Amino acid sequence: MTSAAWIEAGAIRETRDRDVVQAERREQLMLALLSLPALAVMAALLLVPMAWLLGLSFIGDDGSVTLANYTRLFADGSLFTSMALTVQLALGVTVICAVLGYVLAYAITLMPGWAQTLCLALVALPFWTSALVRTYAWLVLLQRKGVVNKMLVASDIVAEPLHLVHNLSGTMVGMVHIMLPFMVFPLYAGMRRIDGDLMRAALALGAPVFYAFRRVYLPQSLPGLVAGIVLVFVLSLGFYITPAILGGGKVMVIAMIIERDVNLHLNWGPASAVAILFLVSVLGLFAAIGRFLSVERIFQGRG
Amino acid sequence: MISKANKVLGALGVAATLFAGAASMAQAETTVTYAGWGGSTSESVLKGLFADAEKLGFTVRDELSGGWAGIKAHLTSGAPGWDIADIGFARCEEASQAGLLMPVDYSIIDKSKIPAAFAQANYIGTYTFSYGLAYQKSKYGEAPQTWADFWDVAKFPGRRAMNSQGLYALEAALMADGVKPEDVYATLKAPGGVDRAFKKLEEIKPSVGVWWRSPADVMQLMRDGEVDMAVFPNGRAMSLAKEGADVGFVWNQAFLDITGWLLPKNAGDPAAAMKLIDSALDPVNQANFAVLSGYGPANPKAFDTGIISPELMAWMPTAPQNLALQVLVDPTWYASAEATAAYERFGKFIQ
Repeated sequence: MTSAAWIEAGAIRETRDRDVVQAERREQLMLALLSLPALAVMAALLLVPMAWLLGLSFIGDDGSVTLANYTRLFADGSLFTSMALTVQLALGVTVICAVLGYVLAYAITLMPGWAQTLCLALVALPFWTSALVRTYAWLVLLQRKGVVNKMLVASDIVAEPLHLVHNLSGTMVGMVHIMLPFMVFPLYAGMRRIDGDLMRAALALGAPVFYAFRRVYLPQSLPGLVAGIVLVFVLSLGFYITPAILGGGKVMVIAMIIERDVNLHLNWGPASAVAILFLVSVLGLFAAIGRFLSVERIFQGRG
Repeated sequence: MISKANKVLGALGVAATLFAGAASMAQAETTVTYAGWGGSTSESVLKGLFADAEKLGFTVRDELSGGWAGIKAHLTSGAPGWDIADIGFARCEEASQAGLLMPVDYSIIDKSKIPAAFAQANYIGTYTFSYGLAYQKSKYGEAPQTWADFWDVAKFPGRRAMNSQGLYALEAALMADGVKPEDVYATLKAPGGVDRAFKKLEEIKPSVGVWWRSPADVMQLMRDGEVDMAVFPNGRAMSLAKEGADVGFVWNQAFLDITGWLLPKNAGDPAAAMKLIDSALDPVNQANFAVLSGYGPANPKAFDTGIISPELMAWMPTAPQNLALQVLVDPTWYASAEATAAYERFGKFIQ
């Protein structure tokens, strides 16, 4: 082949390659276009209201643009007390859910198939009852003359009824009940993929049970655990009904501060500022977590 | 085909005639729009207070006010459509100070039907309720009688419940601290008064088991025996008594609050609304409303109609035997900037 022919052939190949690349790009573009309706819905239902909220937070009582809503929050410390309480409550709920959920999910994976289905159905069952109803049910159980206290007093375990509700601990009980399924499902999904032979191999090679669990099982179940923790923590930050009903007015979480500000000032500005500040704090928290853990990897379950 | 078309045309003709008839009927009647709380309260207002509407040639349209948030939004936006809105006196005063209301026309409304405090320049009191001390009868041999007793946890041990927004809490604290009932609002408005109230509230705070959010909440708390003493609405106390719950209610030093009606500046037909309000203050309408709703009448003559039984009268804030014992809530305090600051402080205080 002459050099000219070589060049020609090369040019043809190049054109073909370019065609292929272009076709690929076009295909990707078309696929991206397919997601446009979804993007439009997200923009209309999430981004626009968010932007609106952000805008509202800079509007003062008299309708002028102002920073007053933010300076007010920084001037009095009560917002930060409430933020700290909200995070503390969410962390507590997350830890309790993680411990209970881990044991429960692990126990379910050990069961025969039909029992697994039954147990998962039982875990999912509360989803069909409204959170409000479940919260009131806890009130009935935990109050001074409630079922639990009556049993405790009748069986002489305590002389006086305990303060089980209208406080932080009662709120936690209610929230853990609502949040537990969000921990169990990702954990169970992760644990089911773990090859049982690996644990048996570790034990056969002489590893003590806890050592084998720590080095072989736990690392593999970690992605599910982290997914559950993130889910439960984030959802717990936004709780309103449960702290409002079971907290006895003493568990003032951020959502209740927002409600109080709306009621007191009858103006969206101050409440919007609280919401925005909290949103930014939580996003900051996740940015910090994201530096150590890749959220994508967690949700793909590859640890 | 032709007959079918004729039928259609005929039907259209009938419809047009009906429509014209309906339109002329609507013109003959005056519609007054009342924005209220909805539910059983609005129903009682329509059946009781507005019983004479038809006689006056008015049709009352009943709308949901959306509470103070809804009313404030309506008033400030200048949206048309409401003639009368129903809200507590404190909020009426706030709206009045903001210049959002039409003056009440006392040439149409007979002022003498109601006590002087009910007849304000820009709003008018039409019914009443009270917040007093409620207690578990079985818990205490000797009944608590005053806010000083509510604060006295040595003599009256047990869990308390108070309103989470601080309603009536500052007043109760001052009375517990020895301020005379008639001086409560003057003390609150004077420098240092709010501080004095909060200092006293610090004392009771450890004994408050629940800061309640709604009347339904605190009713449940007393019914279930979750708390032993509470700042409590009289209507709910009556309901508990009817259920047979062993709960006492103290009229002494209770806070008598008034629900007012206000006319937005742009009310469509103020003259009609004034006439309707005047008829709502008639003793018989007031008495029927009290029986239907459990709220106290604004017109004391309602008790002379024979419609309100002595048993019901015992639960009415404006019954003479109860009226003298209570403190009349001052709407100008609740409408002040000092009060807004004080209740914001209260929110932090219980946090």
